[in-house]
Amino acid sequence: MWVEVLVRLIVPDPSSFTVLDTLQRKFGLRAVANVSRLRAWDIELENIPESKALRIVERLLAETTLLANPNRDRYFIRSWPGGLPGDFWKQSSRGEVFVIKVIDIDDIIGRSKQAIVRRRLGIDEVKHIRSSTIWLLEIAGAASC
Amino acid sequence: MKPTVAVIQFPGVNCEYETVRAALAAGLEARIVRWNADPESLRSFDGYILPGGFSYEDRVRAGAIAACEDIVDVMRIQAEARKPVLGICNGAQILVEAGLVPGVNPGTIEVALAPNRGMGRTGYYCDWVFLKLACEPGRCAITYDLEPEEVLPVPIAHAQGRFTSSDLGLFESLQARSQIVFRYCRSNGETPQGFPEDPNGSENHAAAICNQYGNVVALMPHPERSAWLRQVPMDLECDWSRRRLLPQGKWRTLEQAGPGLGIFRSLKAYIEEEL
Repeated sequence: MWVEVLVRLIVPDPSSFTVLDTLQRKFGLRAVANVSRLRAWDIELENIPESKALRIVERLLAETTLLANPNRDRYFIRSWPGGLPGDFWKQSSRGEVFVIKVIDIDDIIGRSKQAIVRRRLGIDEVKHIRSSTIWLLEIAGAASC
Repeated sequence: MKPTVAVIQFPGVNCEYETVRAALAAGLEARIVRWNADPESLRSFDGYILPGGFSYEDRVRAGAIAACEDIVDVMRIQAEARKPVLGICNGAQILVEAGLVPGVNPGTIEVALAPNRGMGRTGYYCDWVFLKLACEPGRCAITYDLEPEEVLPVPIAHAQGRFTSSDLGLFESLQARSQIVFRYCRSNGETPQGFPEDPNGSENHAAAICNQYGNVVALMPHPERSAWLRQVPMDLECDWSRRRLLPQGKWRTLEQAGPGLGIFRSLKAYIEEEL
């Protein structure tokens, strides 16, 4: 049982802007109209009912700022009872948005969050937490190519 | 005429002035050049130093954005003429992200400077460590003036300093080709037993690696912060600390060369002898 938490900054994200600027100015990729990013937390829970798994994650998000801080972040929760899907892309109304999910091989951040959740918060139902960055590249006119 | 080196100031670096001071003390003519200067103006320099800091606030990955700057392309061309390029800490991260080091397949990013790891800890770490020269002094532009297997106390200050690669055999081949310039070691030069002697879990305990010609070097520790004897702590188990302890109050003695200055002197010797 996996639950995916997608976290988006509601304050300006200088990293995304720097990537956009680098792609446009340094690499001449003018077709890249926008770059944004999400932090993804992929949380594997024990084989428990989906509703219970969602309750655990929602409580984790509501009662701690471990995975998201409501003063600067918005988050979305999706459950994947059959396992996490692979990389994907999706259409947007303003052209095509290409989704790139980058997972750190060592994933030190995910492992440290996992240790906190299990050892300090005592939430044993959480088996794994994996962190990743999802880059959203908006390519102007790509839909018509 | 003194050899000239450009110390590149990217937005966010914070070691450019002390790097210039160390280079001047070593007999080099050093000047800070901003990242957005006319790239062509770089050609007249004999060598280049990328100082430490946090270029572009370490956005995306440390060094990843700065590596895309035009000025790095100029250094890439100048390096082909065997001019020396030394990247210190964040500068090392830039050289790695630019594919200039180790340069087995030039232009390919073959290694990474990953987050520190060791003894169950990670994150930013700042301390004095010992480095052992792992290649012949004449192999590399920053080791010309050093003794074989010389051990140097030098400070580190980084969060992402662990040399690693998806190619598991790469570091063995770098070692075979003497491209590992410095290794972390114990104060007596022996192989480290883990953290904190090896502060970040680097493959083969590598602290610095160079390209195949030895003129482009990515060095994680900060030699500019140990360029004078006064900068060496008094509590390290080494002769440098004992030398630091003896002349207490004699400021002229404390202004003598520290362990890191040899790296800048080596750069000068390389330029004078090889270019």
